[in-house]
Amino acid sequence: MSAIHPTLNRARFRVLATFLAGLANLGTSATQAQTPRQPIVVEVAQPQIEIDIGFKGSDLLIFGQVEAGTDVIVVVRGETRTETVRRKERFFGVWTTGKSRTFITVPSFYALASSRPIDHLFPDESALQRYELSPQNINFTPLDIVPGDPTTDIFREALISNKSGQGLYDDQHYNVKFLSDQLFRTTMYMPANVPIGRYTVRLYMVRSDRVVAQRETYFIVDKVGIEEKVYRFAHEHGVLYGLFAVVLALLAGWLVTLFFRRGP
Amino acid sequence: MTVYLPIAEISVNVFALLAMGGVVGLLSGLFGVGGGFLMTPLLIFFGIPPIVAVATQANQIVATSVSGSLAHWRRGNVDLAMGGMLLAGGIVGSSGGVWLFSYLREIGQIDLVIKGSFVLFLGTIGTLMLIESVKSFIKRRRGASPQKRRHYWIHSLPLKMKFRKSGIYVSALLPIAIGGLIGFLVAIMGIGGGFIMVPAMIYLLGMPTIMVVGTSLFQIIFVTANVTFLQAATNSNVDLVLAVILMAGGIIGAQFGARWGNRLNAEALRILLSALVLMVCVKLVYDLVATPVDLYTVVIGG
Repeated sequence: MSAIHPTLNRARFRVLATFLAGLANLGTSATQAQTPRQPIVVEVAQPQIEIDIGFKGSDLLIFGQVEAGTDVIVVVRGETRTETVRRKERFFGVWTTGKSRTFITVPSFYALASSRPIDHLFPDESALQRYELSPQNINFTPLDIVPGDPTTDIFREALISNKSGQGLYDDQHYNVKFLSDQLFRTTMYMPANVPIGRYTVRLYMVRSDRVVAQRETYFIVDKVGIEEKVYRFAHEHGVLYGLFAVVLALLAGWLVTLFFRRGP
Repeated sequence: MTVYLPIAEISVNVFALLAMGGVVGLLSGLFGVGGGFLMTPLLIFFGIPPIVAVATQANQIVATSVSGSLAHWRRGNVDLAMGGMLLAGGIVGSSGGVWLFSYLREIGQIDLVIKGSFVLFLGTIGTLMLIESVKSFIKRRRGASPQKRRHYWIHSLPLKMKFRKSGIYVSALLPIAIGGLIGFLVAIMGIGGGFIMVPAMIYLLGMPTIMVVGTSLFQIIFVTANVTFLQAATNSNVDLVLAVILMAGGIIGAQFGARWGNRLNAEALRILLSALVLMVCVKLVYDLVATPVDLYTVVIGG
């Protein structure tokens, strides 16, 4: 990625440099306020990821500071929305759409990075469930709550595996790297099909089997350029878009006749 | 070079798409058919969501049918009265088709219906074409025999109208019904429908062959325009970037196809085309019957 976007990378380092300078100042003011603790912060290098017409995915750099001797978990989540999982069923030999389940709290994107595998950080599953660490622990709320219905779990698993298959859910990263005993960084890959919206980045600081501090920041994924204009035009002004598409096609067809009539 | 298609929401290789548009355009230039019946399934194989493929293809056909019908218009080969009757049915049929399309989309069965319609359509057309072209291939070697015009029950329908340009006297209900049925298919499948329209006009309406193609193309402009408009307004599934790429490829291909058409052996080409149609059909059947990799699909919304 760095080879493809040298300018972006330079921008990231500028942000990191500003951040480090800021940290030095924060450190002094903290001492003056008689709190010896270092601030706990999380920040993203790019506050906005822009999907343009040539977008092929992008790396997101996340960095921050925690107390020395702690572990770090970073979770990036997209906007929560309602999604429906449909199962294909055979009908006279042909695969048709059969049963479905709707969940109303589905994050459009979920990625987790940690300094160590998360199941090494806690003694049992309860913390993983409480903080929704890993896609398996996301609290997907079904639209129609059928208590004790085992099929809901099957649909939930199918939803997770579908999202993982699309590269939208991921928890296999142990790539939180410490630059010093307090300063950390990690990168997350935002694939080409990343949904637009406001993304939250949540930092969990873990010490002796417990989450002892949390911080949150956010960034925006948005479509820009022709891409964005066409998308918004189509979805916000369907009638005008339809007229425009028809007129464009009529003109194209007419111009071609003019052009090729002159030919041999 | 990859381009991100804003409505299909996938990245595609623009040259692969141009080439595909070009090849289908070439075929349509060679055979005088629209090519939508091949383009829509090819777009689906390419990874474009079926609902976007159908609506965008309708948009592209608007452009190709304009340039085609203008050429026929100049030679005076468009029967406006007949075109108007076909169009009246076509607008009603295609509007109903888009309505059904939206409904099927809501209940999650649209992809199946699109693919299933293509299997039926391509299977029938491909088989008929193959039989026809093999027959005429053999007949040409033996020497052809003239065909007789038959009298069907449809010629005794009420509301008879005189179509001066074509020199025929038939019930107005007939072109309205034909236009309606084909308009319906245009909406569901993203085809121009010339492939069914032309034989229907020759055999059912008894129109002179010289008027058939121009008149068919004339009404296709407005029916596909209606479908494009309604799809964009209700389903937001017309991808302008994809449409422009397909128009560019298709238009260039069609011009070359029309020029090369005269130099090539038409019967042998027709056998090839029918084989291609059947291959696409077989691939569609396979996709419908083979166990999918993921049995579950996820859509946004309730």
